Amino acid sequence: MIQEAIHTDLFRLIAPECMTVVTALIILAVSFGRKTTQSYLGPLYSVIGIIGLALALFVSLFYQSTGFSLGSAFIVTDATRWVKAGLLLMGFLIFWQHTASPSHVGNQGEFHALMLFAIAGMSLLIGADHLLMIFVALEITALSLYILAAIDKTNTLATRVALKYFLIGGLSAAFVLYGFSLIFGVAGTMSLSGIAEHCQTNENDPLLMMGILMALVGFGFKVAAAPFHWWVADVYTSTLTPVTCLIASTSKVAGFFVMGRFLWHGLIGAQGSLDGWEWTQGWIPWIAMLAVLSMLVGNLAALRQTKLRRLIGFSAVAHTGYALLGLCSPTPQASASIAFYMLTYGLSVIGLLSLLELTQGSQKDAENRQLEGLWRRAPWLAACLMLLVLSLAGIPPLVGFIAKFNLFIAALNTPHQTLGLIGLVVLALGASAVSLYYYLGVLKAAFCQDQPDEAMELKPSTSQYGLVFTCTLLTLLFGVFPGWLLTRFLEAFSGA
Amino acid sequence: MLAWTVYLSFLASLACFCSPASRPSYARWIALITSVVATFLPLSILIFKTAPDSGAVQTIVHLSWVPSLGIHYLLGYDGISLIMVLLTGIAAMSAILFSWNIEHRTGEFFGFLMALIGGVYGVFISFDLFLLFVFYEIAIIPKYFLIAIWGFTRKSYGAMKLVLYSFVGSALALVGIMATFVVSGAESFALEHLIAFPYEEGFQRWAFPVTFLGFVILAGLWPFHTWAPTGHVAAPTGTSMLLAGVVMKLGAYGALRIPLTLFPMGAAMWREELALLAAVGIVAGALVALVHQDFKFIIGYSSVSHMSFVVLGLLATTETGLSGAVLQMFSHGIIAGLLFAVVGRMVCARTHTRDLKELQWMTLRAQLPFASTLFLLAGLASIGLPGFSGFVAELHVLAGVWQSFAWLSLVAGLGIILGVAYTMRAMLTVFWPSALVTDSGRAPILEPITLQEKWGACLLVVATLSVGLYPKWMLDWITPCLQSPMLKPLTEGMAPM
Repeated sequence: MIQEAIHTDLFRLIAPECMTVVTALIILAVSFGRKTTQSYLGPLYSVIGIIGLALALFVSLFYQSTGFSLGSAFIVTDATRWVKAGLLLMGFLIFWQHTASPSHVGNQGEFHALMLFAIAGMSLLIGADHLLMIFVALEITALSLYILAAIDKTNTLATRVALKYFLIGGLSAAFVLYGFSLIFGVAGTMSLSGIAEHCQTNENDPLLMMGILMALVGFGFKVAAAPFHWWVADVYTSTLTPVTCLIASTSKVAGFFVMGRFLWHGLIGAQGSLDGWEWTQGWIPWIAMLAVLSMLVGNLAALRQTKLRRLIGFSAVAHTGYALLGLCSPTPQASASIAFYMLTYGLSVIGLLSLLELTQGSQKDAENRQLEGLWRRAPWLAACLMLLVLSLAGIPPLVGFIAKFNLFIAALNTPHQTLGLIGLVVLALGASAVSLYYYLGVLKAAFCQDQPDEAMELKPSTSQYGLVFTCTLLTLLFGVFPGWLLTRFLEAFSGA
Repeated sequence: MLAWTVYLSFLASLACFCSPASRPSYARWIALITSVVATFLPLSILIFKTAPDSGAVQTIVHLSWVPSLGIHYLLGYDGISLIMVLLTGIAAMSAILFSWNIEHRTGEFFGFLMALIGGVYGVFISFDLFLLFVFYEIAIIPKYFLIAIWGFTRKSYGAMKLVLYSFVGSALALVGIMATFVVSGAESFALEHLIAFPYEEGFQRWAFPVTFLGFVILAGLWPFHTWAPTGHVAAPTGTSMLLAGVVMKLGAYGALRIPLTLFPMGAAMWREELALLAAVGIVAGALVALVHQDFKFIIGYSSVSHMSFVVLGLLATTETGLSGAVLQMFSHGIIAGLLFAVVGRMVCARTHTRDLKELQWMTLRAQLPFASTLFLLAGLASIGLPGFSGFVAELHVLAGVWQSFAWLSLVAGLGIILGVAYTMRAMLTVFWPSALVTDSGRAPILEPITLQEKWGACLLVVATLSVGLYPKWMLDWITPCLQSPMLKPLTEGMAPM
């Protein structure tokens, strides 16, 4: 346990983040002054990035002690280590995705460095235990993602969407900042444990609740919860696949983790319950409202989508809704199951997006029709598609099912159970029944239709195949043998 | 040993998916051989072992699977599961024989079919609720593809409707299962463990109907039955045989295993209302079958009517009623398979019409004597002629219902009479039309019945006859289970009303 603020110790605590940042700096240094046209540069940067991420992953798994530093603004617990490891693993997969099917970006150096900065920001976000730290980490992530969304300057649609993403994101950051300052004003401290002390000893102050509400707006944007989801579908359709993967998987993992920490660590005592609906009474009703809205809006909007990536975008909103349900429960089991849910969801989504990249090439706005006859063109890819999509739909024995199941059990298993939470679980189950409709629609195109004449031939490389297979295999493996991982997560979160 | 039914089926499914598209017969033979082997496993236990008097569950495998949630990989069997496994084997064998002519994407067809069968086997031998639910869901997805790819009229609609109904049902059942787990202290999903917990009356009051309805949606309980006829009609013959024959039994079996054993008090509170629905289902299904002009829909609605007998027998919650329900599950599984085989494969696939008015011009009795004899046998079995399994089963159900709610057995009896009416109507119109229409020159030449079809049909006829003539060999296995500690609270708690 490290508690002193000695610099060497500080470095040991933030070693994974440092490594990610240093890797990014190396890439920037290498790319400095070089012509961007040389084709070997992109793969070179990817390799450097992958090595850096692998080192960071290795360190965070095996060489990191738990503790806190910077006046407890940054903490490392077993839980943060597990989630960080998952995050870095996903970062690794995303870099692999970029290497396997390189996006046509002019400035490869900046592109890679920004992806690493974004990952470092998310990683910091996971360890943040102080309002300022949370805000700084949020902004590191968000600024990198804004640039990444706009990096394909030749695509006017992408630039427009990036502007939209930036404006909504900037607005939400303002909300967070204003909310944080209100909370600071009421509680007189910025550290989460200090705020918690205040909340437990004092009655809920309307000003404090206002602050929480504003902060939730910002977090809601980060995790793509309705009604703050308006950017999701557009961003998913127009950004480059690695960027979409970052936004869809890692950014949501970090967002959920920090949201859970903020609420259940910093604002415990002000949570209220689902029994009544007075707004000063606590923040749980708001989370429940976000969950209900996200489940309904996400699933119902996804029903009408014919474009695949828009569909994934709306289904992401729905998945956020399921995970938000877990935030209504204070047990460590619930936190562990949210982390497990988001990590495994990210895994399936990365697999699915890379697969779509393979079948659609550069067409980001491809429709379901693009998949027609996939079973004949590429039977193995079609099999992967089926497993990945069914995992998102929550069909056993894939990981999407056990993750959802675990989450619902955790929600139901809350002490002092109220009827509201049961209602939420029932709604979530109903919503997932609805979601089967559009997921099966995707599979119908891939399996039941015959190949259209103009369908393009698929010639995936080994690396592309390898990535999709790895994601599918992990989805299946964690679904059939979830026991070990679930126990580790539960232990880690119970200790935290 | 019985666990190999599951493993073999899934392995065969994989093998079929991977079999070369240029050699369709590989997939056929893989599927057929697997299903034959899988049928002999339960059969050998039924024949060579005697049923344990205690009716206790024989454990096959017991491993810890997800320790943090108390989930076990727990396979086992008792008399009831054994009979259901045997039914699955027989239905699977004949369904495969009746799918022999599938030429389009043969490997995938048998791959999905074997995955469905593997899931069904799994449900029948799981004694951990989570595991049971996993298999239950695994059985849902292949149905969609089997119907949506190889089906007929309005296949996408029928497939989606069937899958969504199944999924909504299973979501309801899942609510009940999760609530039960949490209420019982969140320790274990093993059925034995959950049964030992005394659930409060207030909990049983809502948990029973939710879980029960969740399961019986798949058994086609009125008014949640509409997926069944549309799905069965849209499905290719082998699949409709399995759907009506086995998959609908999953719902009834789940209802018997889970809500009825866990919540006997809840059952006592709700059984009259639910039994009324079942009785309405019997009559409504029969009435629709009586007037429908579509040959396949007639069989589809007769399935709804006959499956309602199963639900009614379960809700009688007497020993006779329950054993009747189990027998009826087996019996209807065989007879429905036979009916769909004749109607779907032998008649409609050859004549390319399902309309009764068209079919009466087809001189079917002259051209397909085998099919008309078979339909006669199947029809007689279906209306419950003594000597066939349907008679024993429905007699048990009626007797059980008489003990519990006498007036409903009158309604059910009416259903049997209507059953005679619609079966005779369909049989006479299609195979024995009046003299006016017999000698018509309009009839196309029909292909003769193939060897596989004959084998598949004989198999089913032998099965229904052997249970009908000597039901004791099954009842000997069923009765001890009903007296086992698992079902004892249910049958004992019910005083005749």
